[in-house]
Amino acid sequence: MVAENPRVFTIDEAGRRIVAANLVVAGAVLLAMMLLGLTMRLGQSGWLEVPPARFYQIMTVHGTGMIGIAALGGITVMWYFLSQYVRLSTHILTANLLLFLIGVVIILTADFIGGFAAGWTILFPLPTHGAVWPAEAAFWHLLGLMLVGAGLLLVALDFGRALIARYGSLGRSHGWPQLFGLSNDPLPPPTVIAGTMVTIVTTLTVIGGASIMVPMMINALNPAFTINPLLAKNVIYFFGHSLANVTIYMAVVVIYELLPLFAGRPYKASRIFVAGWTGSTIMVLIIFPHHLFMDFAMPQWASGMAQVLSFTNSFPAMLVTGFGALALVHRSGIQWSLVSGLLFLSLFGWLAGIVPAVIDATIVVNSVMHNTLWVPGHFHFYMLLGVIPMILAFMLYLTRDRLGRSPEKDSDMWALIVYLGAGLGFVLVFLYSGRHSVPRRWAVHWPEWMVYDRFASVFAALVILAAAFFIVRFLIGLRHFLSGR
Amino acid sequence: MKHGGIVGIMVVLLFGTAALWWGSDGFTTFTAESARRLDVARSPRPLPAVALEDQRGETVAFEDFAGKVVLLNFVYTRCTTICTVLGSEFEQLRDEIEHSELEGRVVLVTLTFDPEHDGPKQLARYAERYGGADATWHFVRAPSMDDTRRLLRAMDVVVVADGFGGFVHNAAIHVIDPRGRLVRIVDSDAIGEALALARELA
Amino acid sequence: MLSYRSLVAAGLLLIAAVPPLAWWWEASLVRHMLMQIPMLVLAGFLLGTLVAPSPDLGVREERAGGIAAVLLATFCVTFWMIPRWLDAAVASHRVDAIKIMTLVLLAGLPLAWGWPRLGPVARGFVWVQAISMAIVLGLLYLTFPNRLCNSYLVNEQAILGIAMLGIAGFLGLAGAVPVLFGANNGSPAPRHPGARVDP
Repeated sequence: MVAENPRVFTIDEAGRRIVAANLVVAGAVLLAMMLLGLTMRLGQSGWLEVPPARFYQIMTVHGTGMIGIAALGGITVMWYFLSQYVRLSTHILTANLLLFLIGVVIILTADFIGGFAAGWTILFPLPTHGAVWPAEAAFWHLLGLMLVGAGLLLVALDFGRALIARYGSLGRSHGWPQLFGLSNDPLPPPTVIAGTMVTIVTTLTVIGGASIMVPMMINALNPAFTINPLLAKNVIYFFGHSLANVTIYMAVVVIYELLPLFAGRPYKASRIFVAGWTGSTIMVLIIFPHHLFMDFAMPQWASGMAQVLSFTNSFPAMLVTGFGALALVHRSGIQWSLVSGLLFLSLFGWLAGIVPAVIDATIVVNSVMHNTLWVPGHFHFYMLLGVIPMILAFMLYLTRDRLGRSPEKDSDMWALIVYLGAGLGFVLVFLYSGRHSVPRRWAVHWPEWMVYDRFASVFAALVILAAAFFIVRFLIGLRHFLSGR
Repeated sequence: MKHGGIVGIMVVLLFGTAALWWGSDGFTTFTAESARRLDVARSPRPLPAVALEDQRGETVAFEDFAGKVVLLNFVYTRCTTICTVLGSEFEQLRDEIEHSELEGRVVLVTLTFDPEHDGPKQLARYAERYGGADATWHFVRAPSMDDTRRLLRAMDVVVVADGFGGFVHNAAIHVIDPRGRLVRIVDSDAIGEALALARELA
Repeated sequence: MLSYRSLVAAGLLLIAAVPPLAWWWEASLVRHMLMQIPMLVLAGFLLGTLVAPSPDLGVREERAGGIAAVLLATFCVTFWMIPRWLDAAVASHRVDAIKIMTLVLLAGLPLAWGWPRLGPVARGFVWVQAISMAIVLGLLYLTFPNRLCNSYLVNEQAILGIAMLGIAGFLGLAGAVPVLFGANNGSPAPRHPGARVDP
């Protein structure tokens, strides 16, 4: 078993077509969701008239859609690189895309026509009863989510099947025998270890999601059928937090696989790497009570555990990745390009994003900050500067920068600088507003807050321009990728 | 057949969903209690003609209440739990009825499903706990166990032994219209709803 | 082998479905849901293995047919998990007869035909759905404050809820342990990376 990273990635024609289709959908939905995000900020800044009812529908679609494309894009990145080591199914990836598209259509209808506007993490029983939209809209929104989740589950199960066929068990493909000194075989490649983690976490996440969404769907149709709201909230955040979180663990393999191309050295797994990923596998799944600090009925040990885990959660996988990447490029004479630039941008976003996250997960801070814009600041840091640049780097690598040697144009570097600068500005405005107690999820802002919203709107528009530039570049190069060379 | 399997999946999905839809009245009715209520609301049920006996030992029948709305509940007098609550809820209902234009047009009937133990004497004693029987509130039994069973079955009321010598049963207010048909079933504490229905029907 | 299976199936049917005993199972919610119904499905499954066409035809159509069969079994079992129909089976002998027949013929039998034809991904999908369905039912029966079935007491409901959660935990462990710690040595790397298979 050789743990080298393959230097040239191969993919057959059916695989190319479905990977391209996934990325086109992810890119298009990303831009659409970014525009919806801008609409919300414009509405808050007073520059655009957005009726509150519409604002909350937009907020719901924006949040759900962004998690959806982060998962779709992330799982495509993972699928492409994992397929270099194990045999994966294109049919399953196609089924996932179909389920995703059907789910998106249902969610858009339920939200914009049906009026469902309870946000991405819905809190029982509010979304189904006593709300301004019909309970059927909640039913259909949840059904759409279920379909997207079912698609992800199929891909995760296919990963699991392929990993077991190749390595014997998920424990082995996670590198556990080597970690515990039971085997001296070479470790599996980093992508295989990360793929194992994604398989486990995604499967458990979908079990949790289905276990809570089915009762909520029944409740929407039959109010007499009720569930314990605190229990529901726990399961919802087990599902919601883990799913949002696992997208970065899907997309991060782009760093393990592409950075070596630029640095000219392989990225190898080590026992510390395995330990880090094992820690993250476990912690991702039990950290969610940090969303429930404001629920005083929660047992204290759960909050305490969540606080401690929030401090340590991201560290293992993130630190081994960060240090690994730095060691990899240190004195390697790395070639700087749009793709390697985006890879470093995403590493920065992931590493720096920990700071606002940890602050938010501290109970004494959380009890005053949880409902401020600090929280969107935290997750936009991860998403906008972490997950999305990873997916963009993959798109651009595939279509125009396959060997990292394409000549870079000035416009590329400008786009990168604008994305980083405006993206950072955008999230810092969120954090700064949160620091000054501007509440989150308010459609209408006081005039005193509008100056922040206006800065945010400008930054958001610039980020969208840069992202559109990357996506257009990707679309232009798509034929080149599909032709196979 | 090239796509036999896919067609099979589609057919199963279609028929399976249809069966679940039918079996839960469009995913709204999952329990026998809600199914019974829905069915009664859709198609009112005539009550079997059975001889009843009230707390004075006099023979009565549902026909005697023809032209009036009857609000009916089921109890057994030894009951120390839900029937006590049912009793005080009917007491409130009587108050409301006797202080409104509904007096004489709406009557309350409490029927025991345990006629072998609950004779007129026990019924009268039970009635005393809530201020006694009067022209508005009648306490009755169907002396024959067969008749009692016929009544329970006609309304889909299920009585189960609770393992401690008592019974567990559907607690609800059964609304009977002036033509003697069971037209609605509402929660036992839905006093306002029961009164509104009575007002509508009377 | 053949007669042994048919004997077990006949024995299960005798114990689970023939009246005085059938009523005894149905007198308790836990016995009804967790003993009688599984026995009926198992009896159907055993019968299915006796009369099923050979399962190793290996074409993709077979896979889809397998999915259809397992889906049919899922719908059938789900239907009888609706409290209303559980009640109806207790209240009416006709409904009970339909329950017994459908669980044997539309759940157990197709399961025996479909399961061997499912690929690992489809089996995993069924596994995940079974776990979340057990959790849903467990939470429902455990936390619902009123009686779900007119024929049963509320304390039995709580016992059933705990049992359902136990089943979910058992299914989870039974699936996770071999998947995480299985002793299989795996197979060599694909010769053509990026080549795909039918799962």
